[in-house]
Amino acid sequence: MAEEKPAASLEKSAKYDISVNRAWCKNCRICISFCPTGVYTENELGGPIISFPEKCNNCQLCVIRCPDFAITVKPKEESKRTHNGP
Amino acid sequence: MILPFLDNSEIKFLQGNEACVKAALAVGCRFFAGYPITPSTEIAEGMAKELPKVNGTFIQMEDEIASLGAVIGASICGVKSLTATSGPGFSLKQEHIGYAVIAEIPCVIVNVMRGGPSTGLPTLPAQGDVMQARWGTHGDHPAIVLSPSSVREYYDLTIKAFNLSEKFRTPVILLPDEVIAHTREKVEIPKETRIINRQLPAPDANKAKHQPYAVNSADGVPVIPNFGEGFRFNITGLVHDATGFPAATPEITEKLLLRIHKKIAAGDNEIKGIEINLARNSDIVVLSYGSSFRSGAQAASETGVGTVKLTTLFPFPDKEIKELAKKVKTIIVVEMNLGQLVREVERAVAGQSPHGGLVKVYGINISNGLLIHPEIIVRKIKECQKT
Amino acid sequence: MSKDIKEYLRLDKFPHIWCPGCGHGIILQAVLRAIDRLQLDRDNIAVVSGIGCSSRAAGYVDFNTLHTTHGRALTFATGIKLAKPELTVIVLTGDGDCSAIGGNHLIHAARRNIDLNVIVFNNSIYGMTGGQYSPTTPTTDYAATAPYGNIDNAFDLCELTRAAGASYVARSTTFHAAQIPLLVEKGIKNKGFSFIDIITACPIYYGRMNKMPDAVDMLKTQRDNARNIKQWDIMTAEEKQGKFVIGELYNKPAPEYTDAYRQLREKTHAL
Repeated sequence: MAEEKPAASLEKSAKYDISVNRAWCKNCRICISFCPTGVYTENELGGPIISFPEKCNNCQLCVIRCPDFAITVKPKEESKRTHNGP
Repeated sequence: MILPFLDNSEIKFLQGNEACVKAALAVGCRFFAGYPITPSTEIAEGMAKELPKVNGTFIQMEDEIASLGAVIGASICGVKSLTATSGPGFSLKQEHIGYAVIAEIPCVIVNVMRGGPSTGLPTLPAQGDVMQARWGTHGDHPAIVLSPSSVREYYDLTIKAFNLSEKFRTPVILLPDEVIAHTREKVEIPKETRIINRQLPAPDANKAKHQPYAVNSADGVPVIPNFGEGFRFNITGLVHDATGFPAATPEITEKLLLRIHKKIAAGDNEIKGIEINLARNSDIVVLSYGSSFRSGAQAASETGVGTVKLTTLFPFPDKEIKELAKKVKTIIVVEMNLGQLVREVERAVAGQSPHGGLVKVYGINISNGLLIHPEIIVRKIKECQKT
Repeated sequence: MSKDIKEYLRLDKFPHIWCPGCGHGIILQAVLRAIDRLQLDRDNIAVVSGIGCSSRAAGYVDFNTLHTTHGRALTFATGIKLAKPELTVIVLTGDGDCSAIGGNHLIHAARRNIDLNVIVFNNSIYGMTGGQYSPTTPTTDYAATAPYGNIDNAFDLCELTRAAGASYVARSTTFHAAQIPLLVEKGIKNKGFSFIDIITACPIYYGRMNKMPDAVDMLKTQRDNARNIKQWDIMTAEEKQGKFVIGELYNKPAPEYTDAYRQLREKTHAL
């Protein structure tokens, strides 16, 4: 299962672990279009690139609107210690 | 005051449909869903009255299709379930009969035969649904079809229908005609009821690994758990594999279809229902079923010929009829339709040539809303006796 | 502690068969979230479906699942609920499945107020057969069998089931995905017939024929046309034109059918 994660350089500043299951994603662009903070950009197929993971505020909208059960957003282990996030 | 001898007496004066209700309850049927239709309604009425008393459930559904849907749903939970109908309703039920065949859900469908086509003759008898009972639902499917010729037989065949349905995990069609359903006769109710229950997984079965449609025994019958017992499996009307999930490769399709056919054939002796009484001085037999058999038997006794009674119409007893064809010269098939089971007889005897000549098969096929009068059969027998 | 929603899936069946942008997966996920919130024992959940795109949902979830015939899921579900009232029975169905071929079963199950939870994947089209109009296709919209525009009037399934006797009726859309689990949860908690109509997108068939070939466009349309019940109640008829109401539309507990039958049984025992 190809779990796609943000580039390592981007991941450092992010508070949440975002991953896209490439094998299940059907490139519908819902996550990209409706993300309130603009975490995703579009790849050549219309699928999401996790370009700005640091913008994620864990609203979970991309997760619950993903028709393909392909997105996971979880608080990072260390972020649990420094934030009072959900 | 209850007189002891009456209390112990198992002799009742019963209508056919009442006997069906009694037998269904005796064999453990605890769910009925139906829709009112003449001449089967007494079964629904009887079940509505009796089922709640024994913690069973009766529901009058919004239509015939819904009735069989609910019956299958209840059976999936492990409850022996029955529905009853007549011609037009039987037509409507066909899709769900096919569902029960492929999903292998036990259930019993009574179709009290009245005159057709369409609304036809709601209160008058016919035997015109024989081939529909065999082939009514679409696709290649096996069928078990039973037909009683007396009220007692209606009782016995109701029990047999449930037992076969549970044993082979298949719908069983019980096909009385209107005369048998509405006739009142003295019936001796058997004190003991032979009950067969569907095979379920062993209590220590691995619930996560159990494959509901895998077959590990020679009988070809899968061990499908009931819903709500921790197995969390899938049932579908699509062609499926041993796990119960849709799969449609040629191999899986063929394997499934052949298995559901073979499991019925494999159980032939259990399913069989044929009584042959050859006359010592005659090479003629009258073959019939249902109320027509009673006319046939009367005519046979008046003319000294033999009789063959079928209580199981399908699977058709090819072997027995082929054997019969070696012993007799003439088979007269009597039925209240324009020629249905007679074609099965013709097919079965094809090529059999006893005494150097081919067996002759004649049909007495009358469909006018009346019982076939024995006199009509006697005339045909005498004609045959001359040649 | 709530589980990862994927724990309720039959993972080996994924990716699912639904088209890119089809909203059915959004609804299925939301239903699982509701089940998770309720912490129900999954051995005691039966999911029953009919035929069509929506009805494939049953095969993907790890419960007692029954994929039945076209339009008749409610009849099987009725048998299951009567035979084993302790099961939570959830019916996953589509607009064509439950309101055309299964319309009679829908109104009668609602009339009985039997404790079934119906979730309609309402995409206004027959998707599996290639985009024919359904009883919820808006008038003048196009479909494979309405090449010159649909002349049929559409059913409002919530009005229909409420009038027929459902004790809980709600509607949402796949855009409002966060709202769906709350409605489904309340529906399951309601002891009676609960009907939850979810407006979802079929971009491939319905969308393409109606100038919304993109899932994103279709979700935007849901966002723009849905009005919350509180807002709806103060809107004028003119303002309601082309809009539809979402939220909990009706919630009035009423005697439930399997309860009533249990009481009937007790009555016969006393005879």
